[in-house]
Formats: sequence, C-alpha cells, structure tokens
Amino acid sequence: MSKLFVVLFAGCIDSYHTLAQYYNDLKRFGDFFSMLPDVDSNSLTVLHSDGSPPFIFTGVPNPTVGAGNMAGLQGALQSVAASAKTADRFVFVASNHGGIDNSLAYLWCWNSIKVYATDFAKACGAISAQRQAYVFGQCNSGGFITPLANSSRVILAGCGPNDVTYPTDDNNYDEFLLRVVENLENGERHFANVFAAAKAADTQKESPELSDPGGIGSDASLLTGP
Amino acid sequence: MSKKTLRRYSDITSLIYLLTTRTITLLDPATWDDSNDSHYLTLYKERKKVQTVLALCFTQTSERYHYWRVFGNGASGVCTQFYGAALLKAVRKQSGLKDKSVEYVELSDLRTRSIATDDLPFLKRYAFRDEDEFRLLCESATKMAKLDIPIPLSCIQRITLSPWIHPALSKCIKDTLHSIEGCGKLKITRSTLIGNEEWKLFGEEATSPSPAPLPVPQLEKQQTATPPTIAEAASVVCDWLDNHLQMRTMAEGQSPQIDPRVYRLDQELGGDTPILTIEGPILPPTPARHAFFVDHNPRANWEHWCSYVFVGDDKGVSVVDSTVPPSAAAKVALIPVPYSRASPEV
Repeated sequence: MSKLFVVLFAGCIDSYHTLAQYYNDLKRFGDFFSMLPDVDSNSLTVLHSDGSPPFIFTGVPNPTVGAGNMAGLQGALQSVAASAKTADRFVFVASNHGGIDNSLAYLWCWNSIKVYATDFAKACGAISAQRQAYVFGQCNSGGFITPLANSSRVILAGCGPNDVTYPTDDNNYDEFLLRVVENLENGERHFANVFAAAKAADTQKESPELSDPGGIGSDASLLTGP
Repeated sequence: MSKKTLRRYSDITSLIYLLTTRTITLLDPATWDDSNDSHYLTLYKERKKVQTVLALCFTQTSERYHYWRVFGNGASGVCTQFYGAALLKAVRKQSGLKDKSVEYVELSDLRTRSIATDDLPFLKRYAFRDEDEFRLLCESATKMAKLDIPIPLSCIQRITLSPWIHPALSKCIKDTLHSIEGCGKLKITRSTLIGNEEWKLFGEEATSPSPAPLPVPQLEKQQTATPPTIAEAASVVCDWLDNHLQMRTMAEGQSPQIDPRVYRLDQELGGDTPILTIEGPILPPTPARHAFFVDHNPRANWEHWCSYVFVGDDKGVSVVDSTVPPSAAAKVALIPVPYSRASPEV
C-alpha cells in the first residue's frame, strides 16, 4: 500500500518574525492533507518555530509536531527517507521567510539559521518516493527549483529566485500558498493545474514558478494514491 | 613618503580583476580624457626613448561627487580605498616604477619656468587641481600593453559601491565580491553620497516663495551642536526618506507605490554600537546616537530591501542597506515612527 508522507515547515527565524500567517498556512494545508487516504500521524509532520504551537488537524488530531529548526528539518527529512519506498509519495510545504546569497536560495530555520537549497536538495535526494511535490511560499523561493528539480518532482514556487512573496491583504495567509490550498480544497488533484489556477488567482502581483520536468504535476495519484 | 589613504575609482569589472589576481594594473594613458595630460606622457615616452609608458591614478582626497560622475562609470562604479603606505610598499618592489603626487600648474607659470622631462608625467593643468592625484608610472624599453603589480589584499582599507547602484542589487554585489578567495572579510559598503544629492534638493527647495533658513555651515554646527532628541532624529530620518523617495522616483521613472514603514530601534547607541539583525551585526558607518529601521516594502514577506538609518550627534545621516530585519535576540523594541511621504506625486 502506497503511503503519503507530508512535511509542513515554517522556520519563522525567531519570536519577532513568527507571524500568524505561517501557523494559518500550515494549519490549512494540514487540514487538507489529513483528510487524504494513506495519511496518518506518523506520516504527517509539522515543524513550526520552536515546536511549541499545538496542531490538531481535521483528519489527524495528533500529527508529529517538531521545531522548525535545522535539526528538526533534517530529522523530518531523514525520517521520511528511512520510511518512504519508491511507490510512496511525498509532499513538502514551506510557509516561511527566505532569501538568497550568491544566487543560492535558502529557507530560514528557527534560531536564525539558514538552510540552503543545495543542502535541502541533498537531504531530499535520500527520499526514494517516485512522486514528490514541493510547495514553497517564501521569498526567493524560485531559487529552490534548479537545485531540486528532477523527473520525480513537481515544484511550485511563489516567486522567482530574485523576487519577493506577499501575504494576503488581511495578513492571515501567504497569498500564493492560500491560492494553492484553495484549489486543493476545491478538489483539484493535479499539481500542474493547481499551480496554473493559483497563479491566475494571485492578487499580489507575484511571479510564481513551476518545475515539472517529469510530468508529476499531471499525475493525480500523487495525492489520491494508486 | 607615507600616504594615508589612496582612492581608486573604477568599475566593478576592474575591481573583480584586482581582487581575483591580487594585482593592480597599469595601462596605456593614450585613452585618457585629458589630451593635454596624455600629450605630456607621449612627450615623456619619446624623450625617454622607451617603448612603453603605463600609468595608474589615485586620488588623495575624500569621496567627492564628481569622482563618481567622471570616473565611477555609473551604477557599476566602485571606489577602492587603499592604505597608502601598505600599497606603496608593495608596488615599489616593481623595478622601473615611479610614484608621485601630481603638480597642478597654471599656463602663466609654464611661461616662466622650464619643465624637466622627468616632471612631464606628473604635471596637469590647474583646472584639475581638485583631483589631488597621485600617480604610478612605469616605463619599459619593451612593448607592453599592461602591467600587473602584485599587492596584498590587506592593503585594501575598504570598497565602496556606487551611490547609484540600486540598493536591492548592492547586497548581491557584496556577496559576490566576498565570495572571491580571501575577500570574505573585506569592508564593502554602498556609498551614501546620494545624501549629497538630497542636500542639493534641499537647496532647490530653498528657492521657493517661503525659503527655509539657510543651513548652518558644517563647522559651526559641529561646534554648537547638541545631540538630537529622539523626535529630532526621527524628523531627520523622515526628511531623509522624503528625499530618498524623490530620488527613487527620478531614478525609476515612477513613484514607489507604497510608503516605506519606519521604526526607531529603542537601543542606546554609543558611537559604533552594532545593530543585531537576523543575519548578524550591522555597524553604523559613522558614529551614531539613534538608529532607525526603514522597511521599503512593508507588505512583502522577508527577505526584502530595508535600510538601517543612523543619526549622529551632528544630525548627519548614514545608511546601511540590507534585506534582513532586526533579530529578536537583540531584545530591542521597534517603535513605529509615523511617516507618510511629503509629496506622493513628484
């Protein structure tokens, strides 16, 4: 039986920069994924700030919760790598702060630590699941595409490598991530279509980018299972 | 001779060459703007009967607006500031090298004096005296297109990026330069000379029907100044921001769509006290009493363009551009400063 592994990540940097939108984004994605078949408390992991905020999802009231620090992220990816088989599926969602140094994008982890796209891609390279989706909402998120792209991955980024992302007008959600999850909630199961609809619905003049060299974005079984 | 500071205005490609090869490069003066100057060097070459004369120029004065305009090559301009003594110690190992301050002379003086051949490369017309130039010269009996002279990176005091480089790009350029082997700790800042442009705008406003009082001359202000209060410093920053936005509007051809957001960092500054950001400390470029944080794109998620604006006891403003906000670890409150731009449509 194919399993769906989900990691929801918000490093938040520190207490000054732990915004409500990050919690709301992860909660909304968690509620959606928790209702999919083949997702349980062991395969649904939430990493947020220092790990203290509680998460209770609609379909999984007791997900695995940890800190959004470097160790938490590495541990979660290693855990998926150890458990996931080629027939399994993997989804990673980041609602977070991001940046870029020397053309190398990064995500901010808790305690002001950066995880660079190349290191992130290396950790994800140990995950053997043949269908993987990555959804990034942070600034400069398009910079994750080149290090991460391969034929088993569909990558949705809220902006280009040198661009910024925005929250919704009410600051309750990240704009791009909200449009993505809305389309998932509305029943869309192809990530390529989710991306196109999210891009069209984006109200913040962002520049979302998609990478789907292997056509994984057109394979609904990534979410629905075989 | 011991030189305190020598500045070389060039462009980013020359700087990358310098940092990568750890050399300074003397070139043929034939292409120089001032044909009087290059003519004297040609005469020198002929009279010395050498095949090659190469030169490199520095200024011995502080940063000036016209240096950037004339030598800085627009937004890609850079100013490399050298420890003069260390630089000269290194380059004087090169055989055949001469170095000397340029002498600026009036035509009337030349009518009454004779010029020694050896002086020819170091004479310029009086009109150029503001350059206060220091020149390296090398002659050779063989033909050479250029001469690279090895220097240690430790003789570089700091590097200043053009005041016209877009702040959003300056961090990328700094990162690129820092990534060159051995350059990780080089001091690199973006010029705040743009403040002088703002000063000119103040002057333009002073011609309006209700002229503002003339600014107090700097020397007098230094003698009588009392440290600005928080409110005065906030006012200085808002004025700086007004003019900054006017400059942006002129540079970008349209007014920024949203107002920046200004915060005062509730932190006692003592001279060069650093501000702790999520990426590490930021030092005021000049001693400062008050620090402010300007978020140029307050709607956006981090990271994005922001500025740390420092106000000194003389109410002078110095600015460090960044893309990261202050850190919670600093335990410094960010006090919002009310700001709306003076004139949205310029």
